[in-house]
Amino acid sequence: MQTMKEVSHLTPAIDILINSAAIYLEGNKPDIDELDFTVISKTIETNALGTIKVIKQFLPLIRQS
Amino acid sequence: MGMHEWEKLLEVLISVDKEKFLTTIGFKNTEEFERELAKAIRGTMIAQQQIRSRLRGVPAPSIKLSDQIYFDTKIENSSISIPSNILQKKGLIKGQTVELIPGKDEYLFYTKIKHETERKQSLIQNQMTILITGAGKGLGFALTKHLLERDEDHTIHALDINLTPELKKSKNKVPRHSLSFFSGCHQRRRAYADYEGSIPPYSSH
Repeated sequence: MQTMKEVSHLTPAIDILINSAAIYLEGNKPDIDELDFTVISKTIETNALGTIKVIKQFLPLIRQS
Repeated sequence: MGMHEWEKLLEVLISVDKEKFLTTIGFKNTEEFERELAKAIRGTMIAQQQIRSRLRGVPAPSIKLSDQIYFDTKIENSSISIPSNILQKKGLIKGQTVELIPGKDEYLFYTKIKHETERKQSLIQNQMTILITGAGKGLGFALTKHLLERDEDHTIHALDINLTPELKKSKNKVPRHSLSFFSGCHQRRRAYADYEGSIPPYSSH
């Protein structure tokens, strides 16, 4: 939310939003039984839900484009 | 021994006129049904592959949403494909989101957002405002650098937990602010950069 406010001070609209933010935790562990669930949860939170959160936050500016 | 339930069901299904059944539920014919079914299955598979790619970094499938010509380039270890209409037909640009899928071969796909207001032509004629998350490294970094090198008067806002020294040192690229990002993320400190206009000193909060 804070980021959105900061950006909205600089620009009235966003023409393109590129979602490239992601984290890569314990990617070298191939077996699911070796993965820590909190790490899996954090990865999903950031990589999957984070994308949606960013779109949702910036949607007002995207709609102004 | 009586018939199993599934055997009874199978018997009924076999007796049904497939074409008649499909037209009753809204399909024109069997071909249309099979076409739609194939699309649905493919769509589901792509969605699953994309999620897997984002979570584990495995190669993502190539996505072709239409017959648009894609702009392709390779920077460092990243292969970048950008729908040409995003970068070239500036006057037609509305709101769009672009998602980068990490992996061995990296691809972009985008979704056009329905917009309610027409932006004045004067505002979109010469430049676009582009916001990039994850711009500090990897494909986000490569794309940011690529857009800067194209030098098409775009205003680029780059976000990441920390912008790489290489990007910081680049011409006309000095971070302006540092601020929090992702309310649901534990990584609080993210750098923010505005690559256009005057160059204020870098500050980190």
